Amino acid sequence: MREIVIKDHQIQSKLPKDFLFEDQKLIIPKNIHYENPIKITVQDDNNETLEIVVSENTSIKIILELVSQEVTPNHYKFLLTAKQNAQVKYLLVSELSSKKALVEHYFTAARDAKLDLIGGFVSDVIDAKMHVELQGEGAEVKMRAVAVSSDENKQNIDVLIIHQAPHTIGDMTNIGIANKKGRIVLNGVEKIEKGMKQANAFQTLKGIITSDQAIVEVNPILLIDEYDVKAGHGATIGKIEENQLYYLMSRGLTQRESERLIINGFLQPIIDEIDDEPLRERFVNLVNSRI
Amino acid sequence: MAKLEIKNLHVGIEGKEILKGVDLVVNSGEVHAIMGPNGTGKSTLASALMGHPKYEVTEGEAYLDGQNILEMEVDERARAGLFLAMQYPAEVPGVTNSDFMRQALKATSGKEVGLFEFALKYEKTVEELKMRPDLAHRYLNEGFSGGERKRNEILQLKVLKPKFAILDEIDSGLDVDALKIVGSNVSDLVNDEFGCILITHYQRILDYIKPTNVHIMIDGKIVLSGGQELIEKIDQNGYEWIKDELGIEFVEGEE
Repeated sequence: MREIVIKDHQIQSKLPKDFLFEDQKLIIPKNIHYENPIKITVQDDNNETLEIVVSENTSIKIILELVSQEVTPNHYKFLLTAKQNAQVKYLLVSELSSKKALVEHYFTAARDAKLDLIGGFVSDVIDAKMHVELQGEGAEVKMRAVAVSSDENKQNIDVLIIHQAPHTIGDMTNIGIANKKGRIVLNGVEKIEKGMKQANAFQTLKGIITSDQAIVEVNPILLIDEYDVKAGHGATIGKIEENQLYYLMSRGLTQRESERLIINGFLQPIIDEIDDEPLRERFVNLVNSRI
Repeated sequence: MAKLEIKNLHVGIEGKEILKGVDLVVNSGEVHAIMGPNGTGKSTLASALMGHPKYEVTEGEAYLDGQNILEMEVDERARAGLFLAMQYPAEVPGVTNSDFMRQALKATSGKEVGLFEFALKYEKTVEELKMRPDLAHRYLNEGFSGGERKRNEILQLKVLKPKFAILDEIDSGLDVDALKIVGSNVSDLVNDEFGCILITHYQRILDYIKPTNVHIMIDGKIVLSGGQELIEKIDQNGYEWIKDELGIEFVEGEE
């Protein structure tokens, strides 16, 4: 796997062939199918803006690792553009110790571009925005975000998908898991503008609390200004299903072991996507230290 | 030798009494079939013994080798050697069968379980139950057919090797081939270290698992106990004759 390390707005490592980096903008060349994922690590920068452009017809998987021990306020802003017919799988792993972090993502998809976005949030206090604009006809986005919160953590996850072209597909599945006094607000908003015929919008939001003091708030919102569309949404909130817990415990696992297994199960689809072994291990350990 | 002893067990659900005093003693090496019309409390007995949170024991005792299991948590009962093959096992997305089973085996046996050794044993059991070879990597019961779920319960039973298993309607929804596989696998398990309670309201499964004892449960009580001759009688006459023979009244209810 190729790695790109960015610190103080500068690239710290050699860039892969034909990649361009200037003015905090990374341009990935067109017409290339990248077999292996590229990991971008943003290191201990409290304030970073990065734009990534995936050029026409290119398919790539990008893993963005956002790690900082800094407890001062952090502000990160990422823009990712998928040009025509580009296919981008984008995985964000955010582990920020900041007591006030703002992480903004603005994704845009051009005609026939496909975005597969996965966010794993295990930060302490974070406001995360994941905004997607489906600008071209036939553009698609699949968004999966999971937030795990514990102790006194507070996480706000805002997911917004706007359909600005006909025949666009937006599908989001967002899960918030809160333990101890953790608090998570999950906002899932999908908007289909007038005239965007045959757009599809689907939302699933799920909140799980594993302690009586934890709070998860889920807000599924569909704003549709067009008749010829398909849309659906659902939200559930609650403790871990009693039947699942009973089933695992009936095979000898303690309640705690059972809860851990079930929660890890929720995260498995995200964990499976982390190709980077050390990063995956750290993510799993961090999640498990919170539940 | 192990012994499961149930004394005067009364169990209710949401304030309604379902079991009205069940007495039963099962020794290892024995297979007890509990039969009866729908809605008489057979599955309630199974769930109450395992400790399902919905069921409330209002009276009576249950001992596994002298330990009162009713005072234990669900997982403690499992570690004490009790197993319930469930009628409707839960789906757990994201948790693979093999990860779950390896952890369960470690919990019930109290020993570390080597990955390689476990994988071999698991795969062999998958073959014995004629299940899909990729079972280990599939998520626990997710997207399983009814028959696959039932077989997965028996697979878990074979891997965990408890002292006693309660099979709650393991035969419902199984086709003949699956029934044979499940039946012969369970039969092979019975020995001096293992005993079994088989809950059913069909007779078919009993062609493949021969019970040593047969009990008929009606309206929350075991009203008649005997041997295999009872199966034949039920097979031919249903349950109506019991009304006349024992002079009790009952109506078949919903399970």
